[in-house]
Parts: sequence; C-alpha cells; structure tokens
Amino acid sequence: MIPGRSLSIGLTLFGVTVIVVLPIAAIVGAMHGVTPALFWAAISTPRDLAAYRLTFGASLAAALIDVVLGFLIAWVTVRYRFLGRELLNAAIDLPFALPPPVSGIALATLYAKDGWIGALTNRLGLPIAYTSLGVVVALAFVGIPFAVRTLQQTIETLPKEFEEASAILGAGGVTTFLRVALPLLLPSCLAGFAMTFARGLGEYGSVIFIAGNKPNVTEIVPLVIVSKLEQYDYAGATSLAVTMLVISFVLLAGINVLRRGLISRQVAE
Amino acid sequence: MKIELSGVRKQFGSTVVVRDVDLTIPAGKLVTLLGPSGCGKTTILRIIAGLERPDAGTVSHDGVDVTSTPVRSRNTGFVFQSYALFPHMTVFENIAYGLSIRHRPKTEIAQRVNELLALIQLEPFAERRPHQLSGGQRQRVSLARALAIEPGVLLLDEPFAALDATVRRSLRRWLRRLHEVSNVTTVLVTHDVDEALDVADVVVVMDHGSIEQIGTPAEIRESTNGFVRAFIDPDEFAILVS
Amino acid sequence: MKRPAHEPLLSAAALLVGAVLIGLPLATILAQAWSSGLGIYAQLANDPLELAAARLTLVAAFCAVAFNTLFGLLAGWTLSRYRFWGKALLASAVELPLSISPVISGLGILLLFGARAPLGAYLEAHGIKVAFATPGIVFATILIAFPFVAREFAAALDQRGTEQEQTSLTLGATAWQTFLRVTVPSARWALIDGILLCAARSVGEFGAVAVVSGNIQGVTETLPLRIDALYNQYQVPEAFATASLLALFAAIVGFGRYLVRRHTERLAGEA
Repeated sequence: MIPGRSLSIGLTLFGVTVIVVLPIAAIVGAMHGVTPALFWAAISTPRDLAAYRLTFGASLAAALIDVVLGFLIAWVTVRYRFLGRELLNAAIDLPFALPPPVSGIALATLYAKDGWIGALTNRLGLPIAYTSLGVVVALAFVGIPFAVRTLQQTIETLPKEFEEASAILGAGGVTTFLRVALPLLLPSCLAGFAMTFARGLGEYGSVIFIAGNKPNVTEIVPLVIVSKLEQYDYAGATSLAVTMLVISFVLLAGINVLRRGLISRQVAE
Repeated sequence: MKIELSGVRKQFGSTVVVRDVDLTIPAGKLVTLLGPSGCGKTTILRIIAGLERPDAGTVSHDGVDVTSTPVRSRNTGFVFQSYALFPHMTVFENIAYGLSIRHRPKTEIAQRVNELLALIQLEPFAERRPHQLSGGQRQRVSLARALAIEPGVLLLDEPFAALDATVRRSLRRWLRRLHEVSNVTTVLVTHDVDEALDVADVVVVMDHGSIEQIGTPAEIRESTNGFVRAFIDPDEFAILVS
Repeated sequence: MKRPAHEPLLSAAALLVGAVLIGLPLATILAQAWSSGLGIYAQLANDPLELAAARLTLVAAFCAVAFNTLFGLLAGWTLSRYRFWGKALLASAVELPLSISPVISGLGILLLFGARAPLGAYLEAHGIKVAFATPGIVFATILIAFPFVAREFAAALDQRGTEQEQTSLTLGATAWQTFLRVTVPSARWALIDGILLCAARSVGEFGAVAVVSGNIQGVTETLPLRIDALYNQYQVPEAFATASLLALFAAIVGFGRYLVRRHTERLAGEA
C-alpha cells in the first residue's frame, strides 16, 4: 500500500474533469436547446451524407493501407538489421511530429498535377490531389506512425520460440508466418487499425489542403463542422459533432470487443 | 538416430559459447547435457536442431552431414523451456501441427494425435487452449507435439525447470519410461544434478563451452575430475574454495 | 544462421515505402521553401506577423508542455500505483483527446468559454476573455497534447512494478520522497519520450486552435495558422519556408526519440 492515494486520485480526477470532461460536457450541454427536428435536419442534408461517406470511407481505406504498410515497416525494423533501419525508424515519427498544415501543403503540392508524384499519376489518368483519393493519401500519411508503433511493440514481445517451434516441426518461412506469427499479431493489427481509423475520422489540418473541399464531393465532416461555425451555426456544428462522437465511440467499442475476444482466445503463457 | 558433433565452435559477439566440441550421441540412448548456466549446453542443443549454425565444425545425423540443412528438414523434436505451445491453437491443433504441415490425411492425423493424447493422458483436454492447462500438462503437450512427427532425435531444453518439485520428479520418471518404450534418441539439457543422474544413460558434464567428462551416472558420481566433483557435490565445492 | 533471401527484399521494400510516403513530402517542403533562395528566411525574420505568430506558438507550447508534464507525472503515478473504482474510465478519459477530432475539442472549448456559455459569460464579466484570445489557444493546446506524458509515464511504471517503491517506503521514505527519488528517476527516459511527443503536438496544433482562435492576424495566429493563411493568400514560398522551420522542429523531436530509443534498447540489452 503506497500512501498519498486519495490526494493523487482526487487531483487527477480534477485535472481530467477540467481539461477533457468539461469541454465534452459543454458540447452535450449545448444540445439542450436543439430540438430533434433541428438536430435531424442538421445531420442529414445531402452535403452531410456525402461528408460522412467520404470521411468514413477514406478513413477505412487509409487504416487498411496503414496496417499493411505499417506491418511491413514494423516487421523489418524489429526483426532485421540493415543499412537505413534507424533512419527509417526515426522517419516514422515525422508524420506525427509535423504540424498538420505542414503535412497538408506538402502533400497537396507533391500529389498535385505538377507535383513529383501527381505528374506521374496524372499521366496514368489517376489524379490524386483535389479528389477523394487525396483524402485517403493524407489520412494514410498521418496515420502510419500509429500503425507502426503499435505493431512494433507487439512484434518486439513476440517470443521467437513460437516461430522456431514451427520451423522445427517442418514449416517453411511463409507457412510459419501465416499460421503462427500472423494470428498472434492479429489483435495488435486490429488495435493499430482502430487507432489509425479513429485518427482518420477526426483529422482536419492535413486533409483540407489536398482535398479540394468541394461540397458533396471532397468535403470531410470536420470541415463541414468548421464551415458551420464560420457561419455562426452553432446548433448545426454541435449536432454534427455529437453525431460523429457517437458513431466513432460505437465503432471503436465494437473493434475493441473484437480485439479482446481474439486476445482472450490466446492469452500468452 | 546417431548424432555426431565434431570440432563445433560457436561464439556470440566476442564470447565463445561452445569451444571446439566433439561429441557422439549414440542411437537410442537418453543423454543429458549437464552444467551451470552459460556453459553452452543449450547452444549445443540448438545447433543439433539447426536453430543455430556453428561457426566451425560439422554436425551429422546417422553419418549424414546436416551442418547446412535447414531447421525444417532435420526432423528433430524440440521441447522448449517455455514450452512455446501456440497460444491460438487448441491442444489437438498444437499436436497436429507438424503432421498438417506434412499434408498427412485428416484421418491419419486424428488417429496419431489421439494416440499421443492417450500417451500423455490428456484425452479430455483436446479442445482446451494452452492457457487453460497447468504447467505439467503444457509440458506433456509440448512433448507430444514434438513426438508427433516421429523425430529421429528428441531434444529437451530444461524441460522441467518451470515446474514445482513434485511434478518435476514424477514427470521425469514418466519421461524415462516413455524413452524405454519408444527408444527415440533423446538429449536433455539441465543444470539439475539429480535430474541428470536420475534419468540418463549417459551424462555429459560441460563447463565454459567445453566438455569436462562423459560417462554413465555411476561413473560421474565417482568422478575424479575437480570441476565435476565440485559441481555434483556442493559440500565438496565449499571445501574446495575454502 | 545464414540470412534468408527474403530479408533484404522486404527491407528494401520497407525503405522504399518510407522514402515515398515520408521522404518525398519532406523533400517537397524543402524544395518549395528554397525555390526562391534562402533570403526568404531573412524576409520572414523581419515580418511582424510572422514574429507574432512564432511568439504565440512558443507561449502556447510552453504552457502546454509545462502543464501536461506536471499533470502527466501525477496521472501516470495515480493510474499505475493505485487500484480504485472507475480507474479504467479515468484512464480512457486521459486518452480521450487522442481519439476525438481536434475540431470537436475546439468546439467544446468554444461552447464552454463562449460569451453565451455561463462560465464564459462569468469570466468575460470579470474581464477575462478566453475564446478568440490567447487563454483559449493555450487551453486548446493543453487539451490536444494532454495524454502523452501521462501515457508514457504510466506505461513505464506499470512495466516496472512496485517493488522499488515499496522498498523505499520500508526504508522510511515518505510517499513524496519516494516519488521524487525513486519513481521519477527510474522512469526518466519514458518521461522524456512523453515530453517530446507532447511538445511536437503542442507546437503543431491546428484544428482546435483554428476553431477557438477566430484567426485574428497578429493577435491569435499561431505558426500553423500562419501557414494556412499564407498558403491561401498564394504566398506559397513564405508558407513553405515557415513550414520548413516547423519541419526542422519535427525532425529534432524525431532525433530525440531516436536517442531515447537507443538508450532504452541498451538498457534492455544489459538487463
């Protein structure tokens, strides 16, 4: 028993309440003056629906891309030794550490039709900047550190013996990977997916430059919230914010239940 | 299967773990590698299995040089100290793993696994997962998994180290009886003197990467080698250092 | 063991992904910033709006790092050293800012401190303006960078267990002495890592600050907001030059985390 218990818990609770809980409570409180009809009208216009579709679709695509690429990067940086490994590992922090508008203008320029990558893809008939693909690219960029760091932690703690046992029993590298390593890392893949997905739903600064922001086409939900605020439509902005909060919590809770189910089936020895 | 190591040497960084070891493990015998931690016994076991490649020297199985044969083609059975049972598979799936890798027919796999489950007396536990078993039960599943592929040699790395004393003693008697029935060449690594002398046909005592003595348990007990005497009888060791 | 052939192939693939995904955007920033010569930095250094934005960014980031470090020490200690009812809930509340859109966090602050909210009206009546002013920007920055120190510190303490603290207590130390002389020093690398993450997030915060600041040039404009404004006014080289300075800071954070990682790996190797 370590002393200081009540004081520590009390102060922590107070800090969390002031910094995190109160602002969220203020959003919920602001819903007080919003009638159901007004609420529904604010969250179901065609422009809103298009924004949901783009936000959820692009976040989903980006999270999938990040889990796959993140797995590759996490695996080689933990398991192999090669020239450039440390540089790659350090570079993974950059999308997190770069301010969103810095990433945003860089990606918009790089993927625009006269940018280094954009020129290439445009020639192939696949414009990226100012399309929904651009949103996916931006979200994949900001999400990659979360996927890599989550997976690295698990790969580091995965005992080599499981793979050695598999090899001794006659399995080749690919079989061992598919039947032993991958199933054991699946919960962590899901965790990485959930985290990138959640970040994607809320991402704003890095997306707005490359998205083009055309209502009904390339407009994400956070941008719709901001533009409602700019028109002093607080009720509309709050309604949308509450809707996003509820949907993302339900989704994340669902993913978490799934992940726990996977883990409880294989609690490590 | 007869195992021969000749001139085997292994170092990690600047530390020499195995120093030019020559060792013959006769077919059908149960041999223990005994020594203090860090003496290189586990490394020798891993070299036999192919999990480590020696820096110098050769390893042969029944006279065939397997030094550069990959792990998966050596047909050895290995029991890890941590058991390394696949946590996402049931007991049945764990034991069946090696056979399913070899694409044996389903009925043959089921039959073989059930025989092994009977042998380790865990038939009712086939559908359990490893985390639902006790340490001793996991140990036996791990052994069954290694035996399922009918290995030429069974390699055991401190198999009883994580178990409590009573379970340890009964499991090692059981292992000895199992060996008398199956006659699979077996190499067991341990730092426990009683265990080594109790189960083995032949004991190999190691220290600092070299073999100090090879002999029957009786010969080891009567050893005149200074290190061996000190290692198997701590009281005498105390006299030696004082 | 001999290295299997797939290792260099997979490593090369990962390096390629890193170069395209991260290297090219970084190169773009530098190429654009330097496209009209390095004189642009001198020009920025004499721009009052740029300097005001830099000052505000520094103030907000300093406040956020200081507050979140102190609070992170407290929260990390509480969450790893005591068991209590509602602990899991408290832990998720600490991490909440990670999974909420910064825009929504900003909206919450606006609704809490806006002139129409009770708290905001009360403060305004006493001459304290929070929304559309520096205090709101500081609050938003604290909120966004809130979880990092607490998270890293708690994880490090959880991993280490409580034996060292208990030993210290049996030797007659008070809880406070134990905390300062055993707990904090033993988790200092995790603490530094958390502070680095917190600093990166604080300096770069955009969405929440954009909502609460009201974008008044020279008054409530931080460097990230300044980049947005410059870019939209087609002052592209200026926008990228400012961006390159923030990218340099991000690179320093990345290098700092590399040093921390190297150190903890060495410690793990010795253990």
